[in-house]
Amino acid sequence: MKSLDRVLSSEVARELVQKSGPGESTPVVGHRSPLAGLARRRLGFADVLGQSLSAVAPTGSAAVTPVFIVAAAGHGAVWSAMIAVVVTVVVASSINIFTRRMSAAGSLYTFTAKGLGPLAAFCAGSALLVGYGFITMFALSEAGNYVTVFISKMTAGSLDSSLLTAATIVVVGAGCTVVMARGVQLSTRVTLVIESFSIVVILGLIAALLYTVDGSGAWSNFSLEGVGAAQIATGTVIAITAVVGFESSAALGAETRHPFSAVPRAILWTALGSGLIFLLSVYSQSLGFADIDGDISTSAQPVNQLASSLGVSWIGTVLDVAVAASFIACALASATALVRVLLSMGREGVIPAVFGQTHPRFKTPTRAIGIAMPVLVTTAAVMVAVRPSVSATAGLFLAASAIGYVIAYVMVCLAAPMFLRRIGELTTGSVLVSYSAAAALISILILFGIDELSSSEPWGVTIALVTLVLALGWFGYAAMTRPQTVRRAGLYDETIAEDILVNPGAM
Amino acid sequence: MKPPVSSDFGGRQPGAVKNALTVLEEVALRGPGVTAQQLTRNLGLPRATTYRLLNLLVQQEYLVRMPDLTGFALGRKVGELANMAAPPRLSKAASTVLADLRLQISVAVHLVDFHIPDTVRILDADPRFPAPMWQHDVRKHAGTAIGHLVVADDDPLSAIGNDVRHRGYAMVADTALADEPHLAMPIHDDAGRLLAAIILTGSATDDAETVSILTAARNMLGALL
Repeated sequence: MKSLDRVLSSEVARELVQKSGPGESTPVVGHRSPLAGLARRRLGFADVLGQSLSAVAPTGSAAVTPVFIVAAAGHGAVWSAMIAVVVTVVVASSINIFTRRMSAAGSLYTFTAKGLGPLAAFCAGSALLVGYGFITMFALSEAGNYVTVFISKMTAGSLDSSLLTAATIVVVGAGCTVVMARGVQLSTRVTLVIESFSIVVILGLIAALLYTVDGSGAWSNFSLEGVGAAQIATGTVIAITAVVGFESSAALGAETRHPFSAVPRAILWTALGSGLIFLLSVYSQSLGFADIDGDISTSAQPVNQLASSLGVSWIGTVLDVAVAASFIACALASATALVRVLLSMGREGVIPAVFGQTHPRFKTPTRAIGIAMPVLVTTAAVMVAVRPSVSATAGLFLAASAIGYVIAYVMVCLAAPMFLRRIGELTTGSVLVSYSAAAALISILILFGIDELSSSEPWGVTIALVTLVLALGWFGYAAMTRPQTVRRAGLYDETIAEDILVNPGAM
Repeated sequence: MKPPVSSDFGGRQPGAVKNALTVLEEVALRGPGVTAQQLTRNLGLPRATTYRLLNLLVQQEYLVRMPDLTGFALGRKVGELANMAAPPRLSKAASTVLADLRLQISVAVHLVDFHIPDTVRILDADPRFPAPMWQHDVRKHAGTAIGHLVVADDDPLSAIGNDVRHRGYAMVADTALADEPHLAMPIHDDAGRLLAAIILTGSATDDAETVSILTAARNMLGALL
C-alpha cells in the first residue's frame, strides 16, 4: 500500500483535516510517552532485523544443535527441524498480532499484560527474563568456547582451556556492556554486521556440503523407518532451542522509526530465514555425515569433522570465527532485549525504579545494564571455570533458557486472542493461529520437561524452574505491597497528544 | 471527497486505495476514538477488510491508536501533508502588526513558523519584495539565521544557543544571497518552545532602534499567534 503515499496529496489531506471533528467524547491522551528517555523513533528496518537475527544466532545454532537432534531423532532429524520451523512461524504470527498494534520495550511481558492482565504478565515476564538471561550466558559461554578452540588451533598449545574460556567470557561481556550502554543504534549496527558475516559463512558451508556430497541416496537417509513419534518430538524440542530469539526486536519497538511495520516484518523474516538456514544445516550435515559413513552424534566438532573429511578443512577454521562472532552478537542482542524488559518493569515499579532509568545522553537503560551484565558475566565465567566441560555448562544454560522462552511464547499466544477481543478486532483466524501455536508449544514444553527430568542431569530445567518460582515470588510480593504497580502493568509507548491530528477549526 | 486517480498508480488495487481513503475520511468525521466496529458498521465493509485497512493505515502512521487501544484517530502525518503547501491564514491583528513593522523597516520582513517538526513555513511574505524561495526542510537552513534559531531551541547550552539567548535574536554576518535569512527574531509559545520567527533579509543591521522595534513587534505577535 505504498501507493497510498502518492495518492494522498496535500489537497486530499487538507480536506480530511477540515472534515475532522472533535469526536463524541474527549479522549484521554497524555503529553509524554511513558518510555521517554529512550532514543525514540531512531532505528530503521535493517537495525531491527539485525537485532532479531542476532538473538537467534542462526550460525551458532547451525553449528552446535544438529548433532543433538540427530542423536535424539536419528533419521527423523530433518522432520523434527521442519516441525520446529513451522511452529516458530505460527508463533511469530501470533506475536505479530501485538507488534502490529503496540510499540513497547517490555516485549512479550507487556503484550501478555494487555491480553491477560498482570498475573499472567508476571509469569510471562519471569519466563522472558529467564529466557534472555540464560541465553546470554549460553552465548557468552559458547563464544568463549569457540574462541578458545580457534586460539588452540592457531597456537597448537596446551593452554588451560577453562581459564581461557572464562577470561574470554569476561572480555566479551565487558565489550557487550560498553556497546549496549553507548547507544541502541551502535548495538544494532554491530550485531547486524557481525551476524551478516557469519550467516554468509554458514551459507557458504552449506553450499559447499551440498555440492560435494553424493546426494544419490539422499531420501533413504530421511525415511521414518524405525523412528518413533516420541523421538521426533524430542528432536523438535531441541530444534526449537535453535530458533528462539526471533521475537527480540519487539523490545526495540519504542526506539524504531516505523515500529508497526518494521518490527512485525523483522520478526517474521527472522523466523522464516533462520528457520530455513537451520533446516538446510540439519539436512546438509545429515547428508554429509551419511556420505562419509560417520556418526554425527559422536562427533565433538561435527562441522569441523565434516569439513576436513570433505577436503575443505579451512572452512572449519573460518566457521570457528563465524560461530564465535555469531554467539557474541547473540549475547549482545539478547542482553539488549533483557535490559529493556527490566526497564519496562522498573518504570512500572514492579521492580526497583532504578532499572527504569536511562542515560540522558546515550538514551540507553544504563542502570539495568550495569546491574544485569556483571551478574550474567560473572555467573557464566565462574561456572565455566569451575565445571569440567564447557559444552555441558553451555547446554545447561540453553536448556534453562529454552524453558523460559517457550513459557513466554505460550503466555503471549494465549494472550493474543483476549487482547484482540478487548480492542474489538477479534477474528476467527487469529484465534485458530494463536491457540494452535499455544497447544503445540505446551506439548513441546511437557515433552522437554519429561525428557530433561528423566535424564541423569536435569539441572537445566531445575535452574529454570527455581528461577521462575523466585521471580514469581518477587512479583507476588510487589503486587501485595504496591498494588498500584499491578494496575500499571503493561506500560508501552502509547500515542501522545503530539501524535494526533487536531483540527484547530473544530475546537 | 473524490479519490484522485493518479496515473502513475497504475490502476493496481484501486478498490483497496479507495477503501483506505474512505476509512480515513470516516475517522476524520467521527473524530478521535472511533472504534473498529463503529467503522465497520458505518462503512458497510467486511470486518476483515476494515481491520486490515486499519492496520495498514496505522503502519503508515496516517492513523494512530488511542492509548487505550480501542479507538483510532487521524495521525499528525495527515496534518503535516495538509499544511505543507498552504499554512493557516494570519489573523487580522497579526497582519496589522506586520504591516506596521514593515513601514518602519526598509529591508524585507517575513514571518515564518516552526509548527511542524523539522519544517519552516512562510506564514506571511513581505509583499514589497519577491517571495523568498526557502526550503521547507529546516536542516537545509544550517548556518543561516533560521538554522541558528533551531539550534538554539534544540540545544540551548551550545555556543550558538548561548549567543542567541544573550542577544535575543540570531544574526548571521555574511549572507551570500539577497533573500537569505539574515536576522531572525524568535517568537516563543507559553511553554518557551520556538513557535515562529520574524525574518529580516538583505542588508539588515542590528542597531538598537531596529532591535527594539522588532522586539516590540515580536511581543505583540507572540500574543496573537
